[in-house]
Amino acid sequence: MKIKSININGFGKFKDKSISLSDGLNIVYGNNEAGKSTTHTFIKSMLFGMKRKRTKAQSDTLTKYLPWGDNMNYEGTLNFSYNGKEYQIHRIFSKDEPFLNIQNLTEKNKNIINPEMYLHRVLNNLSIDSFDNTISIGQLKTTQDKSIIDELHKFIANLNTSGNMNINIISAINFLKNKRDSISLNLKSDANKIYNKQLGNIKIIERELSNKNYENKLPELLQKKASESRKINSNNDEIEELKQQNIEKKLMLESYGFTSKEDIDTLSKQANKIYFEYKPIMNTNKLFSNCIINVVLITIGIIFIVLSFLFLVVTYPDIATILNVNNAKYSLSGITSFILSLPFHPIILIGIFICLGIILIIGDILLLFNNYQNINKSNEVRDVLADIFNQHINDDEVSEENMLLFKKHISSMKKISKSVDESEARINLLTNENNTLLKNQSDVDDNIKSQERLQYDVEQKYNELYNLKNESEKIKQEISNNENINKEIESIDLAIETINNVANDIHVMFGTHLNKSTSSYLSALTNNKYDSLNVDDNLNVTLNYEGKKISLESLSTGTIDQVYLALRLAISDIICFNKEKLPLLFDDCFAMYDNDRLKSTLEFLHNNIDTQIIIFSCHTREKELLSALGLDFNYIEI
Amino acid sequence: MSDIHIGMSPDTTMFWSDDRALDIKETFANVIKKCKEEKIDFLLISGDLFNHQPLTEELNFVNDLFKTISDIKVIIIAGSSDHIKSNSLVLNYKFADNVYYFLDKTEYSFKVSNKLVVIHGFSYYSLEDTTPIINSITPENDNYIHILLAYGGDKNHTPFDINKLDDKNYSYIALGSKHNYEVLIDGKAYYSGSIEPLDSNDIGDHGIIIGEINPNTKRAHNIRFEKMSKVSYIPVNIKINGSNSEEDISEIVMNETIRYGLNNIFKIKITGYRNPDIEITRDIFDEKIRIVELTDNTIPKYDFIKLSSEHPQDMIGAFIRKMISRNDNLSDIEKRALYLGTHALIKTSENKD
Repeated sequence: MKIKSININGFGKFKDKSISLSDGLNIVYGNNEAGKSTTHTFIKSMLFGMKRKRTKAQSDTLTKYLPWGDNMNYEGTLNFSYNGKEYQIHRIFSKDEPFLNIQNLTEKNKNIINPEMYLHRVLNNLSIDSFDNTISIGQLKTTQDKSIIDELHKFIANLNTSGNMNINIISAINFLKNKRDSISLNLKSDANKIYNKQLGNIKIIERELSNKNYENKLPELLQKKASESRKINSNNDEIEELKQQNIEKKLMLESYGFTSKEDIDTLSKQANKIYFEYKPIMNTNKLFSNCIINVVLITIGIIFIVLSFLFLVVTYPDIATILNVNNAKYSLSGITSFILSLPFHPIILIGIFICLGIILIIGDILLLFNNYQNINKSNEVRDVLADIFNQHINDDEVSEENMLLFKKHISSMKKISKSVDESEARINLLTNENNTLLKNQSDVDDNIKSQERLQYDVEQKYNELYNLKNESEKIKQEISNNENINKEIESIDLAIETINNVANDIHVMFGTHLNKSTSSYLSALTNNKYDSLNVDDNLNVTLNYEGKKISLESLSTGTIDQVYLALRLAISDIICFNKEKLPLLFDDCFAMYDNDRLKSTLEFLHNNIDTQIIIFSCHTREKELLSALGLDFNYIEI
Repeated sequence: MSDIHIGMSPDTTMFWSDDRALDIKETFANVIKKCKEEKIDFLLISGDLFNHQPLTEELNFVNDLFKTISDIKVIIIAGSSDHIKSNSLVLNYKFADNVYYFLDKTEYSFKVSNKLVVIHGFSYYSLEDTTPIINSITPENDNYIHILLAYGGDKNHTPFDINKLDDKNYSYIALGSKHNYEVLIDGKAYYSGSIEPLDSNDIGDHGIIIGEINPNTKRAHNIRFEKMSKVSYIPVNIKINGSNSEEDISEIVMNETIRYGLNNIFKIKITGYRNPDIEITRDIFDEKIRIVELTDNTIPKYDFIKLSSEHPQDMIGAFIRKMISRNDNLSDIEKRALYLGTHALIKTSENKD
C-alpha cells in the first residue's frame, strides 16, 4: 500500500489542504506548531477512523482535532494504491454518524461494499495500537542515557517474549497474580472442615434425638395418671360407703351389746350352755316324775321300816306287849312262821330291812334336796336366759321356739359381724391399693416431671439442631464460594501457564526470526560494525562487535538509536511478511543523530527499504543531506 | 393452605433471611385475619405448617392465632417437614378447642356432626411415605360432605392415582407439599402452595385457596386463589452492550427493581456484551437490592478472532490462538482463562494513548 495524496477539508488547524506523496522517500517538513502531528494524526485517522476512548480522563482525539472556525466540514480524503489499483478513502468524522466510503478510482469510481473490512485487509489486519507499535516509528520515549537503555532493553525483552514491544508478559502475569492473591483472600480455607464438623454435630444431635429416652411419653403418662386418679376416687367412694355401713352395723351390734365377734360367740355359747343346762329341768313332767320317784322311794323305805318292826314284834313278842300290839298276834302268825322258818336269825333280816329303809329314806331326802336345789338353779338359769331372750328377740319366754329365734338372731348377728370384718378387710385392701396408687401417682408425677424436663431437653436440642442447620447452610454457601474462587484461580493459573508457554514459543520462533532480521538491518545501518543482535534465555541483550559480545549498557546513545531503528524495521517486515508492505512513518526520529549518522541512515533507508517512507521532521538537515547525496525524494513543506 | 413452613429462614445466607422468617409469620397471621373476614367454616392446613419439629414457642404462636378464630374449625395434618416423631412436642400439645390435629396413626377421619362434614386426612410419621394410602381411603356414600387433606402425590410422598381420586366421593381435596399453586382436578383438588415463596424456584404469587361447598349438591364452587404473599421472587433479564459502564448497569438494575418494588427478591440475569474492563459482581449493585441469584452471561466485548488477526505475531494473538486450540468446546474455566489472560495482556500493555 502506498499513500498517494491526502486532502484535508477540515481537520484541526487545516482547511482545504492537499498533500501529494511519492512512492519512495517523502520528507514532510515543518516548524514546531506547523501541523506535522496534525498531518500524522490525519493520516492515521483516515486509515483507522477515530474511536472514542473508553476512559474519560484522556482528551478525546475526536474533540481535539475538531476543525478550527465555524461551519467547517470535519472530513477529508486519502488516495492510496494497493495491488496496482488506486482507491480513495473518504471519511467524515463525527461522534454520532461517522462516514466512511472507499472508491475504486481505477474501476469507474466504484464504491467498495464493505469499506471498513476492506480497509482492515489492506492494513494487514493491523489495529491502531499495533500500527503505533510498528510502522509508525517515533523516538524512544526517554532521552536519558540510562533510561534509554532500559527502554530498549525492555522493548527487546517484550518482543522476545510477547512479540510486541509494548506487551510485557511480566506485568501481565503480575497483574494476574495480584488478582489471584486478592481473590484468594476470600477463600475460607477451613470451611470444609467446619462444615464436616457441623455435619458431625448435626448427626450426633439427630442420633440423640432419635434415642428412645426422648420419646414423648407424656400423653401416655397423663392418661395413666388420669385413670389412676379415677381409680383412687372410686376406691375412696367405696371406702366411705363401707365405713358408713360399718358404723351402722356396729351401732346395731352394739345395740345388742356386741362390741366384738367374740361377744357374740360368748353369748351364743353361754346361751347354749344355759339352754342345755336348763333344757332337762325346764320340762315340768320330769319334775313331776322326780316327785313320784321320791314318794315311791320313801314309801319303799317306810315299808322296809314297817316290815322290820313287824319282824321285830314277831320275833320279840315282848316288845309287842310293850308296844301293845296284841291284836296283831294272829294276823301275824303267818309272818311269824315265815320268820321262824328262816335259816338265820331273824334279827339279821330285821337289820337288813331297817338299813334298807333308812338308806332309801335318806337317799330320797338327798334326792329331794337335790331336786330343790335344781329347781332353784333352773329358775336362776331360766331368768338369765329369759333376760337374754328379752334383750335379743324381745320375748322373755324361754322356749324352744325362742331359742330357735335366738339362734337365728345370733347367726344374723354373726353375719353382720362377719360382713363388718369383711368390709374392714375390703377397706384395708382398698386403702392399701390407694396407697400403692398414690405412690404410683407420685412416681407418675415424677415421670411426668422428668418427661417434661426431657421435653425441654428435646426442645433445646431441636433449637440447637436448627441453628446448626442454618449455620451449615451458610458454610455450604462459603464452600460453594470457595469452589467458585478455586475455579477462578484455576482459570488464572491456566492463563498464566499459557502465557508462559506462548512466551517460550515466541522466544523460540518469533524471537529468533526477529533477532535475525534486526541483526541484518543493524549490520547494514552500521556498515557491518555490529553484525548481530543476541538475546539469551534471561533476555540479556548483546551485540556482536568484531567477534566480541557488547552489552547494551556499553553502547553510545547513537548506536542505541540505530538498534531501535533496526528493531522497528524488523518488526514492520515481520508484520507485512508475505503481504503488500505498508508505508513507514518516521516521526522526528532523527533529532539525536549527528550529520554523519543521519546521512548514512537516510542513505540506508533510501537504498534498502523498498516501501514508501514518510519522514516528519522539523529540521532541514534531511533535505540538505539527501540533496547532497543526490538521492531522489519528495519534499513537502507545511 | 399448606406448606407454611413456620420457623424457616428462606435464603439463609442472605441479609434479608431474618426478615423473610418474620414475613412468613406475619402472612400466616394475615391469613387467620382473612379467615375471620371471610367467615369461613373450616381452615384446612395440608401439611408442613412447620418447617421442622415445632418448638413450643412456634406451637404457641399458631395456637394463639387459632384461638382468635374459635368459630372456625382448624384441621391440620403433618407433612414431610413437620412429620410426627416419637419425641414430637406436638403429641402432648394442648391446642385450642377448635383445632383438630391428625395425630393418631390409625384414625383417618374426623366427623363434624353439627355441620354434616367428615374430614379425612392423615399425618406423616417420616420424611417420606411411599404407601399409596390415599388410594385406600374411601369416603362412604352418605349424607355427609367429605373433604380430604393430603400431603404429597409424588412417588416418594404418598403417591396417588388422580383418576381414582376423582372417582371418590370427595367434595374437595386440599393438597400440600408443592410450594406453587396448582390445580390438580379442576373444581375439586388443588395445591394451594405456600403462603410465602420459600426459595428462588417459587416464582409467582403465593397465597391461599378459598371456596364453598354446596351442602345440597355437595360440590365445591367459587374456588378462588387469594394472594397473601408479601414478597415475590422476580426474574429480571437485562441485556447490556459493551458501552455500558458499571454505573450504567447498576442504574438499569436499580430502576428495574424499583419498578417491581425493592421488597421483592430478584433473580438477575445479565446477557449481552460487556466492556472487558468491568466485572459484573454483586458489589456493583446497590446493597439494598435483594439479589438472590446473579447470573452473568455477558461476553466481554473482546472479539478474539479480530484480536488474534490484529496481533498475528505477538503474545495477544498467540495467547488467544493457543487457548482456543486447546479444545473444540472450551470449558468454563478455559473460557475464563482466555478472557483473564487477554484482559491482563491488554491491560498491562503500554500504549501511547
